[in-house]
Amino acid sequence: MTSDELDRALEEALRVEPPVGYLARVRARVAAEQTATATRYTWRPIGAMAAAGVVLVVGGLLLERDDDHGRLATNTATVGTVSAPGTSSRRVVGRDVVQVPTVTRNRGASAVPLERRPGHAADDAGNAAPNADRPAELLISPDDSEGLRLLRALPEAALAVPVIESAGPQTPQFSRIDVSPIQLDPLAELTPLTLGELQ
Amino acid sequence: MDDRLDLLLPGLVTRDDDLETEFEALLGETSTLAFRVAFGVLRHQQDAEDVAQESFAKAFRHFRRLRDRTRFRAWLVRMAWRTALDRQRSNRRRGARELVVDGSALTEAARADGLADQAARDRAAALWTAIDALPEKLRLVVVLSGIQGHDHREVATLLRIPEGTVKSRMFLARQQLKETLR
Repeated sequence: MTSDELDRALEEALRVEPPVGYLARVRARVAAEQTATATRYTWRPIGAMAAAGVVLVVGGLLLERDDDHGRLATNTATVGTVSAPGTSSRRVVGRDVVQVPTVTRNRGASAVPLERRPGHAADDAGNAAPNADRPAELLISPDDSEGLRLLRALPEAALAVPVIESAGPQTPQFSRIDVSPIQLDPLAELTPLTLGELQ
Repeated sequence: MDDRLDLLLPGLVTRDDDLETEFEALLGETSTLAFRVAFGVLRHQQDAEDVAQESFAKAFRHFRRLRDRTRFRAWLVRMAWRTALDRQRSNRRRGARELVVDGSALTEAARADGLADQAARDRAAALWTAIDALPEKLRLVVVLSGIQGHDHREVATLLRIPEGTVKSRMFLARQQLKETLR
C-alpha cells in the first residue's frame, strides 16, 4: 500500500457525518448546562450567607461562653484584705489583665483573663512593678475574707463563741465484729532440679 | 426581575450574553470536528455523539477561563480526545460493548465513494485495527490528519506542537500502518 492509498483510506474512514439532529441535541445539552450553571450560581450566594450566619451564631455562643469563664476567673482572683471589723476594705486592686493558658477537660488550651496581683515585684519582661515595695496581699475569696475578719475580731471584742450543740439523733451504736485473719502458707522453695523439671 | 438585573448589573449581564453568543458561534463551527475526533477513537456513532456533547458541555462550563478564543478548536479537540479515551476505557472495563467498526457509519462513508461492498468494509476494519495498534501520540496525529483534510501545520496548531514533530510522527505512523496492512 502506497502513502497516497493509505492517506485516501484514512480520509475515507474518517469522513463520517454526524447523525441527523446532532447539532440540535448538542445545543440542547449546552442549554441544559447553562440552566444548571445559572442555578448553581443562584444558590451559591444563598449558601454562602447561610454558612456565614451559622458561623456568626456559633462564634457568638463561643464568645459568650468565654465571657462566663472570664467572669468566674475574675471573681476567684479578686484581691481582698483582712481588716478590723467595721472597716471593711475589700477592694479590687490591679486591673492588669494577663492571658494565661489553662487546660480543661473538654476544651483545649484557652486564654482566661486573670488579674495580676499588685504584690508582684516584676512582670514577665523583668521590669519592676510600680508597687513593688508593698507587701504581698492575700488572694482569697470574699467569703473567706469575711470569715477571717470575724475570727480576728473575736479576741478584741471579747465575744463569746456560741457552742452549737448537735441537734441530731443519738450517736449510733457500733458493735464489734471479729474478723479472723487470713493465713497464707509459705511458698515452697524451688530447687534447681524442680526448676528444670518445670521448664 | 431580569429588567431590574439589567439595570443593576448592566456590565455583567452584557458580558454573559456576549459569552453565550461567542460560544454559540464556535459551537456551530466545531461541532462536526468534535464528533469526528470522538469517532476516531470510539468508532461508534452514538458513543461519539455522547462524547461530543459532553465535551461541549465541559467547554461551556470552563469557557470563561479560556482567554485566547483562537485556541478554542485546539482546546476542544484535546477535550474530545481525552473524553473519548475515558469512554473507551470504561467501555472496555465494562466489557459491555465491543469495539467493532460501526457498520452504519462505514456504509455511509463507503456509499459516498461507491465502495459499499464487503471488500471495502474488510479493508476499513483492517485499517482501524492497525490504527488502534499505534501508540497514542501517533494515533492522534493520524486521526487529526485524516479529519477534514488537515495539513501538518493545522495539526501542529491543534496539538500545540512543532510542525516538524507532526511530520516525524506522521512518517512513523505511516510506516507502522503499512507494515501492519501489508
